[in-house]
Amino acid sequence: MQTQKNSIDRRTGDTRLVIKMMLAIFVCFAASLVFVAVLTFLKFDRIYLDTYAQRYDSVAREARDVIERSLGPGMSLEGNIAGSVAINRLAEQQKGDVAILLQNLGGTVIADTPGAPEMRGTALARVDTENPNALARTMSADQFTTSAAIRNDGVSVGVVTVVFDAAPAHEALAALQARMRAAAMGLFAVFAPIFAILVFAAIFPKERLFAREAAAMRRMADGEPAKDTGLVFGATEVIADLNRPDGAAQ
Amino acid sequence: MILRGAFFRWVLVAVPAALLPFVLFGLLSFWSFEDALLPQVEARTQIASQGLVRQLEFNAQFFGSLGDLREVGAALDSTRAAAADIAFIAVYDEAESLVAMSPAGFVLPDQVAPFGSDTSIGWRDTLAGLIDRVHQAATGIPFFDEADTTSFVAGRYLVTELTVGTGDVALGTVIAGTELALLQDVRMDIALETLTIFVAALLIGFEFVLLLILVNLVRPLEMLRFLDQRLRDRDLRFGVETNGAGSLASLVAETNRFIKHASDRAIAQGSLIFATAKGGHPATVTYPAARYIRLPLFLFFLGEALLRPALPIFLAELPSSLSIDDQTLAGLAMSMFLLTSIFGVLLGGIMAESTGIKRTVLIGMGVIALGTALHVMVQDIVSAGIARGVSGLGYGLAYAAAQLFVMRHTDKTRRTSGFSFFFVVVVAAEISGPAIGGILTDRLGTSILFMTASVSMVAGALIAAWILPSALPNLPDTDTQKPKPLKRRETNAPVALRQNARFVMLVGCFSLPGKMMLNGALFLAVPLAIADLGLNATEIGRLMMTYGVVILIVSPVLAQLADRFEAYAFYTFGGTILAAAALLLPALMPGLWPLYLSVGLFGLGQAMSVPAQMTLLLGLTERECNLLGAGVVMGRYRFYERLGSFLGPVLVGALLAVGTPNEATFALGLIALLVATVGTVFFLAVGSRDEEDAIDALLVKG
Repeated sequence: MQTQKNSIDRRTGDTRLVIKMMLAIFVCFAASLVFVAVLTFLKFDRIYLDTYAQRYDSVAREARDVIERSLGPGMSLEGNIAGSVAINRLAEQQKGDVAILLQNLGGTVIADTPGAPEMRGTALARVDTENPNALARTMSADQFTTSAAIRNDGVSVGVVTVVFDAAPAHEALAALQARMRAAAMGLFAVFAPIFAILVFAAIFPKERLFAREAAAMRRMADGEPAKDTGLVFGATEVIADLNRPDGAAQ
Repeated sequence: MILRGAFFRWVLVAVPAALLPFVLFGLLSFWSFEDALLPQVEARTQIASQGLVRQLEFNAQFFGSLGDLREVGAALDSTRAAAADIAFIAVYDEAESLVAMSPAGFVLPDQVAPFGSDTSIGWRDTLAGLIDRVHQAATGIPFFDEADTTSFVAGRYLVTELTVGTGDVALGTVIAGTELALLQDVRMDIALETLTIFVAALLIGFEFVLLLILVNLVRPLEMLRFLDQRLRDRDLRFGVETNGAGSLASLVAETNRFIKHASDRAIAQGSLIFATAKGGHPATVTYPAARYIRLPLFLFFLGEALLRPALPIFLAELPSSLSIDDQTLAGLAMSMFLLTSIFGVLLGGIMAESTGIKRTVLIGMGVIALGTALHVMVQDIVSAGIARGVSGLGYGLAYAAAQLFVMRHTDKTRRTSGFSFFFVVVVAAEISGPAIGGILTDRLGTSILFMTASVSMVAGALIAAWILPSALPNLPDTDTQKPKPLKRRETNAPVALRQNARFVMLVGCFSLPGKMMLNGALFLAVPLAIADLGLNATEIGRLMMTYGVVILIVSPVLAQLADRFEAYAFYTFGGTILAAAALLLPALMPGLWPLYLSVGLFGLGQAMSVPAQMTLLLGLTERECNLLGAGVVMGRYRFYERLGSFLGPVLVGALLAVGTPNEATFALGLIALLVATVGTVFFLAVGSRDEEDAIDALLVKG
């Protein structure tokens, strides 16, 4: 049994260290890929949603400009029919992809287009009324909004809000996520075996050498003659001294 | 030797091989993102240009063709004004002649040939096509979707074409170019972040693999060398403890067995040339394992380094009922860490002696992990100060015990190299930690950052509990045994050292200012300066990484040169002056790149001065080292040095109350520069050698 184990060691070496090294490298590699993938996706997610949220900025600006041009000194937003006409025309041009609401400073909806959700309060609170060009955007799981303050004679009088569906953005991000996951898994599947081969090539020849040495040392420990103990050459010298006929006398 | 050549060859192959999947992942991710984002940019441009197209179509109905229209340029300007990211917009008639362009006279990029240009990018298309084919062969579906867009990328622009026409009659084309600077920024960010994470992963992976190699190859080989030498000396009194897996562990075990059998035979033969143990049983030697602490220490330092870019901003934003400036309070809260770590270092030394080194390391790592996790529950600046204090205490305990571990597991001939990996591990953690911390904070927030840091420290503690030997090494004929307890005269160390003017000047003019600059300027004021520039924690992380990279690259070279020319004093003085001068730059040249230059030069100065300081210290305190022991002298030196770590943020906090972060950095740099100059003048005047020793040397020479 012992002899059989020796021959196995000489032929194959011990694979435990190779397996340990492979596992360590696989774990580090997989964890790093996951880490890179998650952090990169979170960055993409933020940029994509920011870009998507700006999709109808020009519509919000156009609505604001049209409504502001229709107002004059002393005219109220509530009594101005042009606002309703303008938002309906703009919504139609977007082929129903958006709904538009016109609200006064108190948050009361003055005019809206089909599909407009009920909005509580006013979006004006989020708009920088000091900056006539400022837009305010919100994001939720269901919808995005872009709001612009409407000013009459330099004074804020209301807000126009473009509302659009968030589902396409989330679907695109889900597809992106799936593609990145596939990329990470594919790269792991391709490179993990390459790393395994590198580890095997680096460690296994040494393991075989050590296995040979261990087998030689085992034979010497059992009192058998051995010819090669390169790492522990002192053992060969000790055996030689012990086997010398006058060894005991020295 | 048997491993070194193979190891470096393996590293040369493995590092590029390991980088490749990350590069590919970065490319695939970015291209996928581009595929998703560009249709959005195109849609935005189309929506913004719709009004213009309708206006052109409406007017063309009356005038017959686009070429006959007037005031088209004004309409184009108006469209550009409504969509800020449209860089240019042009109208071509049905004969492909330019009608108008905004801005007027805009020079189209080379690739923009309005009708049917070839915009393919060779290598990208080839690689993407290859990946597509491989993916399709493996899964049945292509990796990249067919682009649902008519736009194309030309240089820095996404060029979108819109047809102007009434009914089925095409009247012309509107071409709008949208600025894609955002994509270029993202591409650069992704490249840098992927590289950052790769470097961190490589360092962590390297430490893991190194630990496996140490346990399973290096230490058994060292044991075999020890046993071989014993056998060559015909000494059969010792065997070694065995552990690890693989053939080498078997070889060690077989060698132990051989020694036992040889010992039995030598005793039976009555041989006189062999040294044998009493009773014939070789004593089992516990071999030193100093480098086993590398990975636990790396994870421990990494946890703390992760917090570096986010901590100043986190602390400055906390509410406080105290009527003190936010940034000053942040400085004070950060100083709590340093203050308690000073006592932690002193307490850690005592605890390690009384309750055991390993236990103290574990307690320290546990306490700092707890303190770091406590940051998640922090509500105001006072509770933040407590959390920082707990963390600092744990840091000090673990640091002191880890140093003692290395000292006990190295003999005199290896002590310097044993301690050198402390520096390497700290720098490795400093390189990867802040950069990763910055990214984590940016994406996931500070709570996740604190938990990640805490987990890293717990992982360090668990590995330390698993791998560190509790027993001290007991090699024969070495000085690794536990040192004798301190004698009464050694308790007078502070007095003895204070009487050495050179020691006082070294501490006061170089060591203390060095730590003050590091902790006050680099770790507190510079991150705040970055925040003032409107940049985020990721940028702070990159800046910190610059410091670490500079040290990692130049330190080994500089240390070799310092040893070769024995220029320890020059390195210490010149390095401190350079580091101090570097801190003057941000106030003199505002902006991001001067900050990078300043941090790089600061790192260069520190790389010169810090390692040389220890050698200079031992030269200046030779007498005290002989009297008190080098450990006591170095312990005192570290204690005073840490006072600088504490005072730096306090001073900067106070300076921030009256000035900007750059001004505070400038002031600290100026103070350090003046103090270091005074110290240099002192050493130039009195020399770095004790007068009596110098006279003795002259007499001996004569």
